[in-house]
Amino acid sequence: MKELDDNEIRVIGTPPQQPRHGRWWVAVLVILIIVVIVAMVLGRASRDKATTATPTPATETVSSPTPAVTYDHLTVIDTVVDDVPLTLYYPDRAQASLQIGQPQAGDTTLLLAVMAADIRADNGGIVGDFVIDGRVLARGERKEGYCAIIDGNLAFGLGGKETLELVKAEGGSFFRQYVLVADGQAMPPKSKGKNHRRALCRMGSLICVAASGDRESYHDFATALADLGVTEAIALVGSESLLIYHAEGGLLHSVGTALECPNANFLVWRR
Amino acid sequence: MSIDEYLVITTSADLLRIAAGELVYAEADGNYTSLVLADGERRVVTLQLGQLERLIAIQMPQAAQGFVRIGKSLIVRLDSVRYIHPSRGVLELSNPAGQKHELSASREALRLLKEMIERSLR
Repeated sequence: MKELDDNEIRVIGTPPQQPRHGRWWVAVLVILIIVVIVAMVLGRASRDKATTATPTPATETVSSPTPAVTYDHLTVIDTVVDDVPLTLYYPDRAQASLQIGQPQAGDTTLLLAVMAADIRADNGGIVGDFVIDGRVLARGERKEGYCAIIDGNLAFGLGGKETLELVKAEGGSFFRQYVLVADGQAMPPKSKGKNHRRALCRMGSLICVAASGDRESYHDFATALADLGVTEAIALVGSESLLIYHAEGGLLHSVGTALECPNANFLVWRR
Repeated sequence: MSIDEYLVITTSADLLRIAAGELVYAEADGNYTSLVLADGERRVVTLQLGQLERLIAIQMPQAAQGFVRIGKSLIVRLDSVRYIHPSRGVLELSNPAGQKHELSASREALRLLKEMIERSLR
């Protein structure tokens, strides 16, 4: 299908209707060419005085989000920020927890579940400090971001060493991930690879899970989140990993595929 | 226009299904396209306008004849056209809910659109 120029139209599936061009148009074109040549000759004298145009600064673009779709205590919004399409999942009045193993399909209390800590490709182990109900299942603090849950209260961000000790003492849960945004500033990992990205985000008093619609670099994803107004964000497992949410009519809607791994772990919100 | 035809846009993450009668217009936004629906909802999809045009032609062959591609930036539903003023470059659409959408396009393209609608009346 031929691309149109701005002066053409076509009924979809038919050839384009082109503007009528009479002989007068040829005459106008000839006159224009003559004018341009004269202007070039006259302009030669003043070439040295030419000024350099100031480049236009790059602008951030935040499109109007599509109307929110609110399910039972879960709001889903699609938007585009800096050309990065994002889906934002806002659980409301829900209790967060961390669990090993995929949530059950018949779990009617489930609002949202998303894979939390990364799994090692070589041995299936969990990457970074990982604690469930006070039990330490993995260690490692190379990833500087953390998420902690104590008595259903969710905390996440940069650091977390002291919080980890508190989690162990209080019987809470904890995992580590990359930091994407801290204090409103994008702080992406240096990896330049592109993939579908997800993040746990805080915007003021709101907490949401953000998922990119396209394959994005960490840099572009983190920048888009910061431009959206996210103040703190840590990465969640991206790529084609499983995300489940409670959709209309009590149905569980799943995105991605389940990971066949005994250590697959999920950050879960329940009503 | 057939009401049984649907435009279905799928990605690895989701699926969007729009009945032929629901689409009022589509507007290019770089590599994305905004779809404006009969109820006023606006959805951004990760398709260029040309790709969307091909999808409409393939998936909704009957309904496609009720849509017009205008220049590089617009696809509009013909029966939503309320007002055209070519010399001002103004195109006004209305949806069944009574909402008006004022768009702009080149004068030449709007002159062609005006003529096309006038011809359909003869």
